[in-house]
Amino acid sequence: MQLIKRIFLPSILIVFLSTSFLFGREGTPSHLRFQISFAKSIHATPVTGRVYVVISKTNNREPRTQISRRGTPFFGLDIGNLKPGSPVTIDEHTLGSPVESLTEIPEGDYFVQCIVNIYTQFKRADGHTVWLHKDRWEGQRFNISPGNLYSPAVKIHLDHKKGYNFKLIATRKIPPIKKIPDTKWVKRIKIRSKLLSDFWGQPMYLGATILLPRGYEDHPAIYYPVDYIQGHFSTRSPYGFTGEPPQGKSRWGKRGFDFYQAWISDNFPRMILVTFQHPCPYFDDSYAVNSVNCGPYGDAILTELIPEIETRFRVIRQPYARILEGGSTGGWETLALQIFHPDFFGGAFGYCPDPLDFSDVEGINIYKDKNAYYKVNNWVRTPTISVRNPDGSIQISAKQKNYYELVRGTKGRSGEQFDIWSAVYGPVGDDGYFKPLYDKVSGKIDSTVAFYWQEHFDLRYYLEQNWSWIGAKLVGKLHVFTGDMDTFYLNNGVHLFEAFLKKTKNPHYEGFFWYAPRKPHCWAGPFTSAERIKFFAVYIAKNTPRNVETLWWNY
Amino acid sequence: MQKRILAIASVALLFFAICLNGSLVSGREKPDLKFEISFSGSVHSAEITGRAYLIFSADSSREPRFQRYPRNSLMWGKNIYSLPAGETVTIGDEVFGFPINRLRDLPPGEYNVQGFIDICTEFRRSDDHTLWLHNDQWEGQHWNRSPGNLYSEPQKIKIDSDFGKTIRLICDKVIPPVKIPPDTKFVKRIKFKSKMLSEFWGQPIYLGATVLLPTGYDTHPNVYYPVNYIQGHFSLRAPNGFSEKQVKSKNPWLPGRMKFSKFWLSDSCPRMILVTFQHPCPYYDDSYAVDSPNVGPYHDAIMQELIPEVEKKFRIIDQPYARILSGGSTGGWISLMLQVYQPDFFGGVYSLCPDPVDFNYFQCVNIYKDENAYYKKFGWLKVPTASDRSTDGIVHFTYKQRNYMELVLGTKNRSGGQIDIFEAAFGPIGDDGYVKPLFDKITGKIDSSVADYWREHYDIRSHLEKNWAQIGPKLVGKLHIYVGDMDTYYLNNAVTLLEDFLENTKNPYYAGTIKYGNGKPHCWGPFGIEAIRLMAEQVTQNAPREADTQKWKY
Repeated sequence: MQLIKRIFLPSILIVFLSTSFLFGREGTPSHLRFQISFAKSIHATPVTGRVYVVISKTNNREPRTQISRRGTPFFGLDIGNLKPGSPVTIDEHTLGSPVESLTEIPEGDYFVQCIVNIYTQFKRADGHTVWLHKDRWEGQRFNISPGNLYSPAVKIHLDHKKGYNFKLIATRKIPPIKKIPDTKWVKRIKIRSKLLSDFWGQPMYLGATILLPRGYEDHPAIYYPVDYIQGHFSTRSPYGFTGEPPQGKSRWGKRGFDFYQAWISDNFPRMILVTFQHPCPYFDDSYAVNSVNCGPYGDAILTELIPEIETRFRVIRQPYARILEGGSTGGWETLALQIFHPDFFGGAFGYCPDPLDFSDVEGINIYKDKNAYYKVNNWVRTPTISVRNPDGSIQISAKQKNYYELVRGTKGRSGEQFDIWSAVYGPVGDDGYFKPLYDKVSGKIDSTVAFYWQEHFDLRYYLEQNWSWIGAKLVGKLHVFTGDMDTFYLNNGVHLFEAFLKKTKNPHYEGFFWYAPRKPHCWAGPFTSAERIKFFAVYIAKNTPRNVETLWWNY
Repeated sequence: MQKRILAIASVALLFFAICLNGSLVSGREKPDLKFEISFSGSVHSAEITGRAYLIFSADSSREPRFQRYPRNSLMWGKNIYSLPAGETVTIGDEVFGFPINRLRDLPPGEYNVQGFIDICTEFRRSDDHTLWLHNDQWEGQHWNRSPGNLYSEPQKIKIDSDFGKTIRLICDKVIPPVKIPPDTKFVKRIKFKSKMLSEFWGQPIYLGATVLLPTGYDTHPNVYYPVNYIQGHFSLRAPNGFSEKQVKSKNPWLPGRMKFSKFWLSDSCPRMILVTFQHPCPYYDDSYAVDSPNVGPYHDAIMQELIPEVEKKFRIIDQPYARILSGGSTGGWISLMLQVYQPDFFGGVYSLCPDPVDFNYFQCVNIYKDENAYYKKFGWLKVPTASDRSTDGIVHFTYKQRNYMELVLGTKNRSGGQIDIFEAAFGPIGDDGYVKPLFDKITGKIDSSVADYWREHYDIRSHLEKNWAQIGPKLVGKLHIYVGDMDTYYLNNAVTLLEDFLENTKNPYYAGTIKYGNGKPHCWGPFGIEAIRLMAEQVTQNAPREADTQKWKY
């Protein structure tokens, strides 16, 4: 019995310490404390979700808007059914990012703010009940998501040596997103998706933002080719199209205005440009495929959203007249939509696409690495790097980036990149959330999950397996552009994708790959926006059946 | 019975706890493992000042000292001072190692373990400093095969069962002298004691050259030849790997590098003389051909003693247009520096993947702006500084790891490693006579006064920028630089800065070449056959009108 006491008690304590350090479970004495609650006046019912403390040296922007991978420190804690007025504590055992603990905040004056991120209960059609943040048409950004709560920033003195205990009460609520009015050129649609609402057990919406060509109203008999532009959630006009001359030195503003001038000019091809809005509960978009964790977004886009667009607007409803383009997330979606619907679309132009081959997922080789956070070369263990500069220097390691996500949300609810890849590409876990590719704390890779990713969404692998029947439908349709120093190492996947395609026979793929030496994310070719549209117009005209007139070409 | 189950459960739980948080518990649980290293009077009777190494490897196919460190071996090192034969130096848990820092963190398993003693020599330098450094024995500063160094027979040990033991390793073997390959018809070697360097170091210091003669050298006694001074690491091999065996080879599938030997003797090869230099210094396998307060007047010794000796012994056209420099990596830097600092003397340089030509990119460290060489801070985020990568951009070594690896091999810049020689060649002298380092080898903190010193002395881009009006006219058409844009050590970045300067030169425009190999690693650029052709062309083009450039093309 003596022996048992000696071994058993300390070991319990050790287990407890080890886990609580990372997960911030209460129980050990703490002396750096923030007690967070929300006022009944702004939210009368209990909340399940996550609370954050954000700490910043500056307040020229609210601390809550300073959260980013390389931003100001913040700390997060899950809450379950928390009643108004009742506090939870974030302390030095709570994991933070970019610093892991409150103990690493040096003594000084700081602006401090709390946020309450409200989750919604989804009783999914697959029988799982999960709690996730429901998008409010803001594109899954919890710090500006309508309905979420926050406290005003207060200036306080933090001294980790003396200890502190502050109360932060969320007394404000983020207001709804303002609807942007339609213009002569730009129209917006938003529909309730039956397929997605059925899957999620909650109303789910899809949207599209449409740019019409000059003379659309005056030529009611003309039907137009369409460019379906893929990418992150945004309700801005396609290509940043704007009739407002740029203010100051805004490059984006100038680009949008230059494009406007080209778009309305004579001798410019007349086409319809469309962006999709399909935020899912895990991210600002769904990656436009059917997945067990996000639901049937591929089907919903193809059978609900696109038909809605093509009936409301005069789109040529023929494959040759539908092209896809997009960069980064949108680059992957562009290629995935083309590959999974080879008959429906007439050509894909993907820029710096997300991993086309999972042997490099932002530096992680999911098939070979045993740990997502380290490369092991016999005795030497080196951190895996996820983000770099064009000179090759390091922006952030895989571990740091994942810990940032872990602070934003547990169970893959960060609304960030690694988590959405896991949600889209991976299987469902026993608890209804996705089964992760690797342990978010230790980085240990689960090779069975890697295998699942490969079987479902490794596009290079998919083409290799299916080329015999799919190849013929893709001839001349696949085009990829990337900087060869892509910030997220995405050029490596592109090279592997090309290595397969350029060897294809019966048929040969007949597309192209265009690399720019030393260019970062997201190199999309040497074109201006207007040049790109002209390039697409020529491409579509070339693929137009002989007996069809290209009335839209220009008028 | 219940007690036993409980006990088993708690042991399991304890094990789980150790796995979760090893460092918390392991210190108390594992007794110390110690190694006592000594050397036998039968192989070395005098006292030794130097460094003792403890070398581990899990791979027993080769002696631990010959394993690739740090990928395949683990090392611990400790300085020794006047250690007599038979007495021991103890390497225990307090001694710093790499890639595993502390002995107690060794994972369980079977290892081959070896003791080693690297012997230092006392140098009473002409600057009045007395230093202890390893004196090169014409092996090129390789501690593990340097003649006179001592080592023990490897021993097999099992970690776990051996914890708490003290293991004795007796170094009773001595590394024999280097065998110098004999001269042949085409390959000649010279070696002599440098007056300048021996005076500086207070010990005899040698310089050498390995010369490859063209075919027909004997039968054309009136022909003088252009020369290619090839810069690079210490080696006694023939220039460009020329080998008479390869010439005789009937294998039609010889790899590219091996084709050179046949080409050299073929009709289509321009007739030139190729020369490599041997100039190991007490800090490294070569001196970087600089004049520096730490390595001594190597630049002057090469220019005033070695090259005149070579040009006296062999029929070399002693005109600038006929002297071409080339080299890769270390040699890329040396060749470029020699051309830039001796613009009149040499007629052109083909520099491949040169070591940092601009210290804004000293690999990934900006010595002028970064506060720390081991990490960069972006607001609150601290990220490691990288050192080595593969062409897919995967980082294989951080800068801190590279430096810690050197720190185990030697303190006070005596590792014989890359970063230590940079500091010796480019930097000032410290109060103790050793190198004043650019950064603290443990913390990485950069000393900006040292950075300023580096800029003033060997930042090649900065030197060119400052002196272009004067040296630019002498360099027109002479600078040719090649680098892979995925250089393993990130050396392409500094080349890009040099290019920014050179491409914008006016009065005169530099009129040279800077080429990037897309996606290529260290060390990309023309070599062997391709290089010889380029250089012959350069010589022909720049020859004065009166020179007969047909003479050496027989």
